[in-house]
Amino acid sequence: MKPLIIAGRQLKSRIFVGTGKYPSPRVLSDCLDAAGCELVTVALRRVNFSEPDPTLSAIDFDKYLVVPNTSGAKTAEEAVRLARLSRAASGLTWIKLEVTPDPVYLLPDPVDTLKAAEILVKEGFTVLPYMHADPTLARRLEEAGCAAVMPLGSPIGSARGIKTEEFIKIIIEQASVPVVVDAGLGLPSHAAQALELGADAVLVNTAIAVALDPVKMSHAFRLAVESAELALDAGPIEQQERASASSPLTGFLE
Amino acid sequence: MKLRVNGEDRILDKPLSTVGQVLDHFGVPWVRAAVELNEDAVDPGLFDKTPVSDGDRIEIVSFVGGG
Repeated sequence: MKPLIIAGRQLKSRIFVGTGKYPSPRVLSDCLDAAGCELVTVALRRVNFSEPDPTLSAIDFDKYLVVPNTSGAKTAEEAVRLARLSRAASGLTWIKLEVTPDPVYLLPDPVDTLKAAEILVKEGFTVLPYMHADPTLARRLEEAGCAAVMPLGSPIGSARGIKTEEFIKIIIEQASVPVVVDAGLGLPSHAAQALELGADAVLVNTAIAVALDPVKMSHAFRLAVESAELALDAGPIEQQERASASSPLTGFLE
Repeated sequence: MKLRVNGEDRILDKPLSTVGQVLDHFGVPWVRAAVELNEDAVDPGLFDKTPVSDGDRIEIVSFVGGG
């Protein structure tokens, strides 16, 4: 596989891990280790003065590339506001852009996502937009200067896998920025499938965080991603309409 | 002194003069905190130099787990 380079930075691990919903900071820390990931995502929220969120203590900001998201934003304006605050807090310009006005399916608003992306790119952000698997939108986001595109497989946290396969294939075919399949991956096989389709990386959160044994599941996702990488480098065979016997067709008993 | 902090009105016995003092008052570490003063992001390098006044609206945010 060609190296994964986003905004000039090479990432060796093709699994990005979200940090929400883990049972404890310790489990989160162990899951990040088990996944072997380099890029992790976080969210930005009001500080709760009486009960601060302990998640931060589990994340080594020197070890991981920590990319804040704009989750909670329902409009371009809200996303831009969150991105600016995230940059102030992290000192980093990377932002996972999410604009999700729909509370039931958390589907991204394509118009406001593009609008926010255009503003943030102009302000010097490295923008990774969460988007529907729409090839035309992917092209528009790329033209706006986004550093990657992140099409969804199925709704966030739904664990339904890649229901948008045909369109993700077109995005992969046409994109010249990395394609990261985000959202809806429920099983390691879904992550492997994404890479086998030609995606550059996957982002996983709920499937790991909410598993009965999150650390074991994180390891399983790592193996799946590495397995797919190996397979692609090994040169998969073409699909055929008809059977092709593996055993010799001579020397049968009479 | 009255401030609106993270959506709640707070009456402070002792007046605070800078954003940095507001963070200290609420026990928020400066590292990886971000502050919005009347809807403008404050440069973290200027927390101790940015004045706050009576009636200001302040948002104090930081990172939490998220996907």
